[in-house]
Amino acid sequence: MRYYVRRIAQSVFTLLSGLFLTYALYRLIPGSPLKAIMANLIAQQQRRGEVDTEQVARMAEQMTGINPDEPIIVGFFNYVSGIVLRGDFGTSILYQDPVFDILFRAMPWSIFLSVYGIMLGFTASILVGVLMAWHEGSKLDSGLTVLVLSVNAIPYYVGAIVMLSLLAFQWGLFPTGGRAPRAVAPGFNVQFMLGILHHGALPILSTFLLGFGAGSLGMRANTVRIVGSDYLRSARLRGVSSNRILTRYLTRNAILPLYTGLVVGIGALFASNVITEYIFQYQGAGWFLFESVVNQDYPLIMGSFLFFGTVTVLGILLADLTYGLIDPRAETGATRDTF
Amino acid sequence: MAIDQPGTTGTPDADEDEPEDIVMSVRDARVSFDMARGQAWVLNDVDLDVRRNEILAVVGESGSGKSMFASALLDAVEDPGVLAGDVTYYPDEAAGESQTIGSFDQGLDDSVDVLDLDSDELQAFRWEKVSMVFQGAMNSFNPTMKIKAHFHETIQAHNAVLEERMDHVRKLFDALYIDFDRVMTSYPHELSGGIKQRTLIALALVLEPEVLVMDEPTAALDLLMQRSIISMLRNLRDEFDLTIVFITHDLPLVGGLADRIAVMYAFEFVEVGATRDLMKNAAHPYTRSLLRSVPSINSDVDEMEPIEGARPDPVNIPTGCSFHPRCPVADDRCEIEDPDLAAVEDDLQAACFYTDQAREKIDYTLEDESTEDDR
Repeated sequence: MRYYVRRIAQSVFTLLSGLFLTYALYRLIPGSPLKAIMANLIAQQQRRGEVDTEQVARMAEQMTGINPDEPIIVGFFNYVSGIVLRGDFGTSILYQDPVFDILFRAMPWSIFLSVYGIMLGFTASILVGVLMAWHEGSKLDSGLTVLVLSVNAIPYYVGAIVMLSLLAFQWGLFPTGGRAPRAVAPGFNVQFMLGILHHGALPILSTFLLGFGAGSLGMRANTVRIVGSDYLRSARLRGVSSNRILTRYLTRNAILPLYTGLVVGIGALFASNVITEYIFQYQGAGWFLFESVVNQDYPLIMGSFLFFGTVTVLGILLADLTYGLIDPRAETGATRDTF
Repeated sequence: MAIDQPGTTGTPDADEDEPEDIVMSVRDARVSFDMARGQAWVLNDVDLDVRRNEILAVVGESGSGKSMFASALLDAVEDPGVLAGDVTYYPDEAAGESQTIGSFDQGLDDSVDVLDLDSDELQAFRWEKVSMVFQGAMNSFNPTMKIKAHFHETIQAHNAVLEERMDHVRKLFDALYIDFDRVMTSYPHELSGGIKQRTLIALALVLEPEVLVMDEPTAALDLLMQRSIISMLRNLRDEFDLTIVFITHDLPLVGGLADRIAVMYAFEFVEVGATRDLMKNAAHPYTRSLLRSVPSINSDVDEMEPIEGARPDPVNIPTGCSFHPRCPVADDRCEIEDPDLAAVEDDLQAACFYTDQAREKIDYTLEDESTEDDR
């Protein structure tokens, strides 16, 4: 129990530190977005005649949620307490909407892409990896290795652009952007669901390729190691069926080293979504982050960072806390005695 | 299945009027591997009979082919090794029809040609008739499965009755002095080496096999645990009517355990005999040198006498007697002619032309403890 409390506290600390760094960097960078906004305001007021610095500071605070006269520590404290106490993440400058609402609306779309991408990617890498290991040294093994390496060698964003240009623009098989068909009323109807799948297919495919390559080679290596192990030979001689050996012995045990990577990878996938979503003009959390960076929409940047940071830290925390469940050897704490 | 009458080929000196009760016989067993340098023989036309209810120790240095012999008894030589020859199992006639534990059906024949079984039959044969405890007990359990699951899957794989078998396992655990409930609900990593080893023995005996092959079962254990396991094996043999084939490199260790000892050198048996005779006055120069090289607590390290030379290359086994390059009594004849196992005494056979010279020239003394039948 103490382990879990400590581990969760660590995660909160990690998240806060990351958030503080972002906040401080934003304030400290020469020509920071904040200064740019203030310069803009001053220029506007100059055109009108008089410059009221106090008013400028107030307006800047309104727009960014940051008072430029406050010390960084105090400002950070106010920002965090705003989130914790009032659920106030600030207001987007670009969209004039609360940051929370924008991200909350975008989040399900990003999760949709990531979860399907990662699930497909890892299922495929596990199957392909075990298949390669089972036929180790055969033509199938070398063929698949070449295929996997080639897929791996192509950066996912290049793959995404090629897919977009061929499948969407040239052949018109998939939409060139967007999250859902405009013509169909949103809701739980078949057409809308199919539309979502149709729009999501290419981004998911590109995410899938990202997780596929490295995973299957790792899986192959793990499986080959287990194929040669004493306990597998012993199980075969005991008469245990091939099916059980494949599932309960080979796949189960070969996944273990990949598991942490899988869960942590969820965080990394969200990050890669920034580029994927932008290429496919898919308005998920990543797309909004990109837009906010380009448009210096500071509250949205902070909000997005908070979102991605939370997902990553949660992923790692989840991997840590659940590893003991899938690998009995890694049970946390001294819950059982060895005798 | 035309097979020589057991007890005649391998043991020509056997008393004619009292045929031995053979449980397994191995004839002309050879295992070869194709290697880039040529064909490697890791078991070279060996003949051996295993007598019912005996403890037979197969002794040899590492790479002498003893593990291959163990695997051959279950037709479990791993690819790309190829096993040829005859391995025959003779069911216990006295037990008759009462043995209906697993799914192996030996039919009407009174002997089973192990190498002739198809893969289903072989799968049933292993563990129901002959089972094995592997080298490296530490890694013989699936690390992510509880001990209980290992027993259950084995019982189910052989279509045996679960409750009845688990009751039997309880008896085995009692005989091996392990706590049934605690061990069953543990994961392998939660058990100590000694308990894991004993659990593995119990796992090998779930389906009441007649023959238990143990490949270096004590190799990774400390000396105390080795002793305690060795002493349990005798009780186990008596209580459960077992025949035990014990593979080891440790000749003195089995001195107090085995009924008979078979010494392997260069993928062949060079000497086979009753433990007492073989330990007291071995006939083959290799056995004698081996006994001479055993370190003793009473003698100085400087007095230790290792066997000169290196073990033979499996691709390039010396012509004639394979031990001749390292043998102190070898002459020209040994370089050309390969001696067969021949009777030296009543229950002692050696594959050597010059057993008398060997006994004269190679001296050894044993500490009392290892020859004494004190168990």
